[in-house]
Amino acid sequence: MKEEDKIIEEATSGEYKYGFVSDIESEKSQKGLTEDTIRFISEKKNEPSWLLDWRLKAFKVWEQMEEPDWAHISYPKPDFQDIIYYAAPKPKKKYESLDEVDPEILKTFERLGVPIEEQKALAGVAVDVVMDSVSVATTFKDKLSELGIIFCSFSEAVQEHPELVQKYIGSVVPQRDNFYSALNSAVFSDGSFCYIPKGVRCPMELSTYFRINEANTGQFERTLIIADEGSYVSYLEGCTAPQRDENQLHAAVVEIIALDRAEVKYSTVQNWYPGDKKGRGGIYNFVTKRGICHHHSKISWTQVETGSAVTWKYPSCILKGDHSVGEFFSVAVTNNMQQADTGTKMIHLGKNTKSTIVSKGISAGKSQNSYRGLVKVAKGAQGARNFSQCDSLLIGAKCGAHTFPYIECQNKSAKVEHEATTSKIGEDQLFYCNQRGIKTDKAIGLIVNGFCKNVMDNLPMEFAIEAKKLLEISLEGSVG
Amino acid sequence: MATLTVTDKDRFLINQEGQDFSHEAKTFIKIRELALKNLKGLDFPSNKLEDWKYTNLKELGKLEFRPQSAANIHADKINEFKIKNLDAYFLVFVNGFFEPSFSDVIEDKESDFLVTNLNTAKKEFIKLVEPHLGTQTRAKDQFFVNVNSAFSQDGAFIYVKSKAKLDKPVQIIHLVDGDLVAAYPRNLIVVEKFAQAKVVLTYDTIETHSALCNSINEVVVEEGALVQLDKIQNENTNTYHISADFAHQAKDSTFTINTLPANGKVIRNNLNILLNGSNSTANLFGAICLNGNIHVDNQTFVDHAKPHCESNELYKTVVNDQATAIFNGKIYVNKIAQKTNAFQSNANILLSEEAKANAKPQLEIYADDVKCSHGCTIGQFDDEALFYLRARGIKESTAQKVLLDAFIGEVLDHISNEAVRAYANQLIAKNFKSQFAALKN
Repeated sequence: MKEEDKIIEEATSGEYKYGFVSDIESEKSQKGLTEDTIRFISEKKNEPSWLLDWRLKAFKVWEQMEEPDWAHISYPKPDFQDIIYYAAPKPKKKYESLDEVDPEILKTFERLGVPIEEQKALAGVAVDVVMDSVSVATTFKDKLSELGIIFCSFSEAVQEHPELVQKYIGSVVPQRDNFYSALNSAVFSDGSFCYIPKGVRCPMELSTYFRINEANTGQFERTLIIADEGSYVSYLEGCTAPQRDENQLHAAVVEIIALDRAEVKYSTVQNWYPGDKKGRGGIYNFVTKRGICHHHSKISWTQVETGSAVTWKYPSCILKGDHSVGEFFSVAVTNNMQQADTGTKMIHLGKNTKSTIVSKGISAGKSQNSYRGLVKVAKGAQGARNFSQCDSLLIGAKCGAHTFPYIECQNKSAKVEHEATTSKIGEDQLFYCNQRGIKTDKAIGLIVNGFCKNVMDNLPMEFAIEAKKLLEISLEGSVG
Repeated sequence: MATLTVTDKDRFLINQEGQDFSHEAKTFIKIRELALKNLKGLDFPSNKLEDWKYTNLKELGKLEFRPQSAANIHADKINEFKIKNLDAYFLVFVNGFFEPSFSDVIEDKESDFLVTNLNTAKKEFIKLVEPHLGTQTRAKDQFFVNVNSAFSQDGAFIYVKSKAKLDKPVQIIHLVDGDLVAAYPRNLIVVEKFAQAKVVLTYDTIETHSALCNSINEVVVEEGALVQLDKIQNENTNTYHISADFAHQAKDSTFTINTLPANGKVIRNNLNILLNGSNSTANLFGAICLNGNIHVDNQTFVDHAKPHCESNELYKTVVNDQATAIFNGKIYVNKIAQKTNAFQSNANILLSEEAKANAKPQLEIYADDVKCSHGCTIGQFDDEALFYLRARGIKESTAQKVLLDAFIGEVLDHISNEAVRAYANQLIAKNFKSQFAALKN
């Protein structure tokens, strides 16, 4: 075996360090999905009747839909009647301060390195923690509310700001949008809600941390971010799950509304349990994320995808308003038996709209990594501009890297550019490093980090450090 | 009362029946039977199929196209379709049927090459046809490939013996004449080891209000062979053209195809290139200059099955009026195809408000030691370049023409024969005449 091959072999030995299970009692619904399940969830959450109707409508739509199979992924289809759709850490009550939160939960998040304690104020991040799709703690609430910023769990928002929720829920991702969004709309249990009032620049990063803990449960959270005129917010999302042999389903929906001149930056470090070397277990990550941009507004998606057994995720921007901007920066790393089919959609409707797509895919082990994207310039989108770049890096001879971009243009003044490359780490680059006394595994790390740099640069600082570490763990041995 | 619904597919297929192929050798009848069997399991293409996402054939499905033999045509008429100043062998087909009186046939068994029609070859040279016919059509799931396999009337057969060189290019002229004609030309080109051939395919119409030309070209490129195919589609605006080209390359071979869809109603080209031997090279070039209501859909599939192969793909498109251009290119690299170099580039220019361009350049790669890239752009002529020319006193229409020539020229340069290149240039100039005339100054 060649030296290089050995290092690649070692890459598969990277262990998932968030695989522990916390011993927290939880309240669960019955397995399976019927109208009763939905009524049960809705009742548990003490929801108003319009929301129950909205859920039931989504369920009716979902029942008639078929699971999509166009993505370049193959996996045993989940049995939707064998999933627990609601699991909440018990006892479920309102927390006034963090002292009241179950110490076991706090310990869990401490192990994850999530700063939910208020004394970590210096970290400057407000965190909403969602465990098994129920929000357990939100920090910095008071400070934020002084500015009129609403940052709370979704169910709290339903109780306290129903007018906002009712106005915007489903306005970007309608119930019938796709199979998983319909499922989420019917059974979503909680999530985060964020509203930034007119002209306010949110002084700190808002963060949500998602954690699946219970076995046999699916996680269905829903995030709604509304940035009112002229406001700015940077939003972070992180996720982990215990190590289990069976597959768990995560079907989330994220909706962003950026009103005139608003700017939203949404960063994700996705580190769900990816399954073991043989592809046993791991999370199915089927997520619908979409934002709508009004005049002069901007939505920027940055994602680092290292986890999940199967990823199916296309954070998108509808550039509805004139002069609006959409951005998508992504690093997707797959190792072992992981499969990822991810990318973005940029729909240019307004005049002089701009979008940038930078996607970096790294495949190692026996994984399959696909970029799938759509750039659409509608007839009225005068002067629309798009630049896309998708690069793939292959480490080892058993993995695959694929690119499926769709480009549709109906306006003659639009400019669309797309470029993609696929290659392996250059032997000359490795040789150059070796020659200067850098070991091969260190050198691969250097090259991969350089390869991803212009995406990593878009992450907020705290996240960038975490993301870099994650990259190291995901490709441990070959990337150092 | 239960109503009997006749689907587009059923009606379409019933209309194609009635041709008698019983005189053919058993092995060839088998190909037809297999295709008919495949068709049973296939639906008429609709937008729901990923492959047909951007091309709608609903209208085609409603029309009653039937195979029809051609009326007598005067030799002068045929001569119009021969490329000017081209020193070549000509093979003429009308509505899919061979016209020997207008063709230059070489059937001498002692000759280094054969230039004839497929039906003759099926009888006289069965040993040369049998191993190749139908074996190239790997697309079992493509509706129109199977339709052609089942109902094709005739086509050209070109064979070049190993180490020989076809002394002149062959121009294969496929014509359509009459209303609601369904023509199924099928050409087979076999170039043996280290041999060379150049073939020019032209598709034209004599007169029709509505026609379907569904063609297949099978090209066998054996070890070290060199084949160039220029394909020029210049049918009238009532004609649907759906074609599939299959090239099967052995090691050290080179295959080049230049596609030039100039006129028609709906044109769909499926290129399937299989690089089945190491160190082989495939070149795919397309010059697409569209005006009027034409809808052109180019699909290319390059299958890198063996290591050390190279593919170059360059498609350039200029879209005017209400025309639509679609490019769907796929590069597939098998896991054993290490050291593959695959390049694909697609550039589109939109000239009018109603023009549309859709592109889907795909890479599917299973080997790690490869260099693959694709690029795709949609835009306009560079304003600064235009200004540069205008500042030097060149009028706008000429300046635009200069930029157009420069843009498309990069593709046309790959057409090696001067006469063919001149013809291609002439077709493009004709298409954009009104565009430049409208500018006047």
